[in-house]
Amino acid sequence: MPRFEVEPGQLTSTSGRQQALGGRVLEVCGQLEATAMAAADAAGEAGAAGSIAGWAAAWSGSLGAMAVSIGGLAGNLDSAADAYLTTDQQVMPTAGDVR
Amino acid sequence: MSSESYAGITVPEGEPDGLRSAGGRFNGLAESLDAVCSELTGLPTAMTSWQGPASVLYADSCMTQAGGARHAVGALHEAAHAARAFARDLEDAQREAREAIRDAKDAQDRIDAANKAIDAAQADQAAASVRADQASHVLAVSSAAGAPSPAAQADLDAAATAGQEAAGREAAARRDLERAQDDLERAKRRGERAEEHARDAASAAAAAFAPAGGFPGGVPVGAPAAGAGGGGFPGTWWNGRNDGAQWFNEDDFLKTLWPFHPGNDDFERGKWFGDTGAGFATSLLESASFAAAGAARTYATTPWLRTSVTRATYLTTINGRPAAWGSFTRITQTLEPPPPGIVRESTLAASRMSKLGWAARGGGVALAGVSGFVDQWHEDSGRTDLTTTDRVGRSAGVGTYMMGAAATGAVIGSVIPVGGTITGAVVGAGVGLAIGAAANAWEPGKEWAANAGQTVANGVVDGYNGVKDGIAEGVSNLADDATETVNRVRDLVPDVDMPDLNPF
Repeated sequence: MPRFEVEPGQLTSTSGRQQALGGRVLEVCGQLEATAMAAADAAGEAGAAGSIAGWAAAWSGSLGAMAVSIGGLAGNLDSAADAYLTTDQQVMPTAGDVR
Repeated sequence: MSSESYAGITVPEGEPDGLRSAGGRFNGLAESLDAVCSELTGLPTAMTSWQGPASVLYADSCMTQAGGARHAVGALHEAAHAARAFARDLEDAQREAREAIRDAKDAQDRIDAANKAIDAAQADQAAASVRADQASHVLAVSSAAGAPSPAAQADLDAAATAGQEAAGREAAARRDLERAQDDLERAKRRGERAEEHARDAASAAAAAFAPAGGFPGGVPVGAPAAGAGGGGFPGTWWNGRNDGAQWFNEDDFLKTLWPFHPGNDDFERGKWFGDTGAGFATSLLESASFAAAGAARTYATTPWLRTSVTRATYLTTINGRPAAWGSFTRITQTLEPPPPGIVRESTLAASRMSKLGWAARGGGVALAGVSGFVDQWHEDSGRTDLTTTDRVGRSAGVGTYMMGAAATGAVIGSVIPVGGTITGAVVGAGVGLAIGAAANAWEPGKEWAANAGQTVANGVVDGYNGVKDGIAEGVSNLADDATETVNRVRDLVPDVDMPDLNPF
């Protein structure tokens, strides 16, 4: 069995930071859409406007998925911290915080 | 927004300031995402106490997500660049179109003024004619009475002068009209060019935004999907679009190297074989000529080795009696300068071969120019917005540009050390092809050359028309001066009354 050690408190705090990063990506995603729509309006020519709008839709979808993915990983981290704590407290109650 | 339009010239729609502002915001978003990327990268190292298989997987996922964010940062920077470039080009095109409209309005005002002046001059001529008729009548009646009216004579003279002046004014107004009509046509062509520039800018923007399609399939916790941003080689080099950096058209690069690229039509495919065959032939001729020149030069300067073989017999006598006899062979070798005739002939041959080599090199460069001209002509053949002068100018510009590239290739090829005539020809043709492909793919250079050629061609045509107008005007002024001189001379001639010739 490979060696492992963990301080669940660090995992919980990092999970929070990661959740916040996911939120920032989502924010960027919204701003990107708004900016690209403004650019498409300013383009004047239909082909260029359509291309910009298509680009925005593709990147907006991708960044949205990335935000969800980052949030999901943060959730996993939180769950891992919980699992470690549960193990420490219930399965091996005498093991202490660090194992 | 409503578009400004006049005489068929339309200011291209679009708001450069809005695009520029969007470009700035794209950069700002890229910076925000870059910060997210850095933080994602730092998360695993922040948890120093977590070690084990799960921590490794977590770190890997963070790196993957950071990679995805980095990709998006790149795409946002590219979008910012494309938006700003579009804004700049659109602004230039709009300014050009507005100037064309201003020129067209000015020309139209002059056309209207010239038409009014023509109408007025014609009316003055008609009035002068009526006055002349009346004065003639009075003069005739008074002459019949035996006392020609001096006032009627004066009226007749004044009417004739007024009629001539009005005719002169009409001629001048017609010249003005012709000039203004030429200027209006020029302004319209300028407007068409501006609209074409705007279309080009829009196409470039559409292409810049089209390939970056985000991460197909979204971004899972695992690796970001490959091919985001338009795919790699050969996809982006084979799709007929100018992907990625706009200054380098990878499709044009590959089209020049490979005849069966989908971007080459039948004509271009056939031309590729012609170009490549001619390129290899000139390269072979150049290589062979320079090799022959070198050999002839070596022959002229290498000393000759003269070998002399002496065979003889000898007889030694002592007191008249043979004491020893036999035969011997002596071989001697000496180095001598080659005979003057050989030196002269070889040097002449080296000079001739060298000239042939240079001519072949020049021929290769000229062929590249012709090929560039034909390529651009073929490319522009379907464009209805270009005049023949525009097409000739653009083709000549690109032909000159390709000649410059070929000359550069020839210089590079000449310093690559290769052995053998065939190898030299192959290397020379290959270097020429590669340089030609690079020059063909360098969009700003080629476009600049095309536009410069177009501007020069139009300048030459406009200059010719200007000179023609100037000559016409000069001739007309001379005619006016001559008419005026004749009138003055006529005024100096005494008014002699000749009743015997007067029918009244």
